[in-house]
Amino acid sequence: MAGMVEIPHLALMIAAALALGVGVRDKPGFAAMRENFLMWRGLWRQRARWPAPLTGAFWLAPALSLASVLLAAALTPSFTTALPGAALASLPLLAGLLGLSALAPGLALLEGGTTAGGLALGWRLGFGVLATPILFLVLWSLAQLAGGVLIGGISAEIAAGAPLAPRLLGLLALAALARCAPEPLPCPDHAGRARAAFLAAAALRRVVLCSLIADLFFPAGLAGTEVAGWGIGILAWVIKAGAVALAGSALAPARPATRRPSPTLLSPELGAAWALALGAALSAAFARGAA
Amino acid sequence: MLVPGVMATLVLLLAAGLVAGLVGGAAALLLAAPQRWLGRFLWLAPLGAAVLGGLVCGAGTGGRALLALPLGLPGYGAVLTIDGLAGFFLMASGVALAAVLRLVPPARPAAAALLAGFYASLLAADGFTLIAALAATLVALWRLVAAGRGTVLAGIVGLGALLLALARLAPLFPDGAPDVAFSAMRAAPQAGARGAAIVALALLGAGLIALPLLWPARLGRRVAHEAALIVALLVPSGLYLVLRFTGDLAALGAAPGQDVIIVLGGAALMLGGAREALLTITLGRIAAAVGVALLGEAILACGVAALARGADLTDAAHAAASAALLLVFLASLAPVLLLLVAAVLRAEAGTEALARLGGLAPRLPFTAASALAGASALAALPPGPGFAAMALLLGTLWHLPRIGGGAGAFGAALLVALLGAGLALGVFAMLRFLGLGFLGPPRTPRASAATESDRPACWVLGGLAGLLALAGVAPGLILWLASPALAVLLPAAAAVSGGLRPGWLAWLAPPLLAGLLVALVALMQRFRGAQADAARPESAWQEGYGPPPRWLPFGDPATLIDPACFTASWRCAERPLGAALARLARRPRAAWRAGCAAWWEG
Repeated sequence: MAGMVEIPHLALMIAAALALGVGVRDKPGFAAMRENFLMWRGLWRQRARWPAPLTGAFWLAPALSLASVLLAAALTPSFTTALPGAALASLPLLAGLLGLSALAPGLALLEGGTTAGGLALGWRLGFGVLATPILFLVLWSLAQLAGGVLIGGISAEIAAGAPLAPRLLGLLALAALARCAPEPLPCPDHAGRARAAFLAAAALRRVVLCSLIADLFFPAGLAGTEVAGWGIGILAWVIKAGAVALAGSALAPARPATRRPSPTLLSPELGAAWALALGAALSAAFARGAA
Repeated sequence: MLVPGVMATLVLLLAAGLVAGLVGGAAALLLAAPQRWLGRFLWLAPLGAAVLGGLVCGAGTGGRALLALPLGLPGYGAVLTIDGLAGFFLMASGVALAAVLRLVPPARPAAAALLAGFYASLLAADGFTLIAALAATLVALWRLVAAGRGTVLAGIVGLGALLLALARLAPLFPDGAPDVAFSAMRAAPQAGARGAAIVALALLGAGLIALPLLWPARLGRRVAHEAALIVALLVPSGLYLVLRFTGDLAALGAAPGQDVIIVLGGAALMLGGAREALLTITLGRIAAAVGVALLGEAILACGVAALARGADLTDAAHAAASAALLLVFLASLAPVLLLLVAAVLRAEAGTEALARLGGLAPRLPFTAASALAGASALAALPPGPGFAAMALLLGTLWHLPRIGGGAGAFGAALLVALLGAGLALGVFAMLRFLGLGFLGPPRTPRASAATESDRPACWVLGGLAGLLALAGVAPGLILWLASPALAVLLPAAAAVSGGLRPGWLAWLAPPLLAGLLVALVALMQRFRGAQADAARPESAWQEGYGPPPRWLPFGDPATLIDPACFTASWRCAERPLGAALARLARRPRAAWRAGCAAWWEG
């Protein structure tokens, strides 16, 4: 019976991803949702092309990307922490699944084997080398505050009251990172359902990230096992995750990629994110030492 | 079921027989006639040793029987035993050594002496036997691979450092002579600066013995099979020495300062190896760099275990030591597998240079799958074996700031950041290796005409890849086999909890996740829809380039991805990053102002 909650949880996550889709920036409100629906339907009906010299990796990449982010979505709490996979939902596993999902389009780009694809992938992977320590430091500061790496435990501990400084610094570090992060990898050669899988994976990744930030930094309203709290939990999730998504898209127009092509991976925003993440980690360590 | 003590004696006798047989075999090889016959079947010896090690680990009954041989210095008879640690290393190293010797039967008798010395060093239970066996192994290896004078000198200095560490470890008899038996050293653990000096000497000795030959720039120049033999022997040897000295003889975490030395050494090796794997352009060198990076990861995990053990954090020490042993298994197998893949590619595609490979996955599917399994050891993504080890290690790190106050917190934060950078570098390097080597269009005629290797090579590659995949899907099994070794490293924890077998989560979670992932991918393959045509869509204007002319059937080189251009942005970032850090250290206020100005200018 406890496993049944996974169904509404996943349905909510997927519905949010499909509704948000990719066109949310272009048009407001329901027009964007309708356009999204038409896009998904068109992609589902479109007959795919299989470029002959390419291998199975070309087709495996979208499926792998979507499958891994679906697993991550099943483990990330949205409105309740009483999910059947709660014992597995640890920060390293979620980071690994989201990383796998984000990197899978790279397989398709490498299969294409063009210079532009290689440069795009190399740029993003190089950025990943500089950004992963920041993510690790922020997640590590949260794990210290809660004394564990399980999402449910961290949410409960932060809801019960944890020092503000490390959480604030961690959130600012993530904001600085969002400001300088590159766009997701492009998938130029795919059509039909493979393209739909890539786009759905990217949208679901965004929903999972927003839910994760909401769970870890603003756990208020997150329900437990009792069914009575689920309504409030759903409302709280919509508000919190929506606010995080709006904040993320507000930061996005300031990205260097949209202003001018950056000659180097380094940027002042990245430096600020490093400093803030280090500050979050150290303040969490001292707060824990004082407690 | 045999009584454990009887079984341990039996295993010990078998092991001694194995060593004696190898020594006898080397002598027979020297005598002449049956040289070729013995060389062909020498691979069975390490395979037997691996089975033996597996038996010891599975039964969990090591270290109870000592075999005193009537050999050695006056008054010091050589003592052999198989404890859990030796059994685990027998198992991990035996498979890789058997794979190498199966594919390339050794033509020289030194190979048998090499194995005899190596196994004697694993079974040694006193200092003199360990040093003598190591010396025999190294002399045989140097002879086999024609090592240079510098390597030999470094090895001799390394042996000297180990001897010094043993001299500081050994308690004295009433008459002033040192007691070199390991059991006596364990009974009198060294604390304080003395313990830290022992660990530093042991790390120095292991590094000087292993690293000159494992150095990627040098190893990459060797023939791939020879390089595979060096890696299969020296990576487990180096790790065994580190774990035996720091984890067992000097008692893990007993002396303050030793953990920091281990962590620093491991982090430097991990980052350096992963960076080398990312920037280099030949397959052999990448595989060697993977070996160094995994060696560093294992040593780093051992250092984290020492940190946690020193602060009496038993659970964290247990998890970190488990991660270290899992990484020992991976470091013994993965680089050897990648070097054997490099040998196959050299034979079938004519080159090891990434720029001249490409498009090999459909032509060599078996080799490509093996390369994927080998690469997944360093690229810590689920459901690979590297991820299982890293998840264990990352789960312990939040304990660390309890140790050492402000400096400790800063050091721990730096360690977390370095670990993140190392993991991302590993993923980057392995994606580049797989993508450029096996995916995309073939870049040379030779690569486009490559075919799958012969059947024995496929079997050997498949066996190693299967073991690595098993470590990823069922790390609980490897951790179960590693639990006697864990009891050697953490005897107090073993005594308290009555055994260190892995919990249900380690058994259940990885296969469940991997199964779900595979099932979802298979389900999506069913729904991927109909295909419209089988021709590659050639648009007239692809990414700013026209279609390649007829006389360039493998595409225009200007439009094809290149190993160097793939890492261009990272190489561009490295130099200013170093310059910016230097500037920040030299003139912090000016650096701050420049950063602010750059921020506001956008």
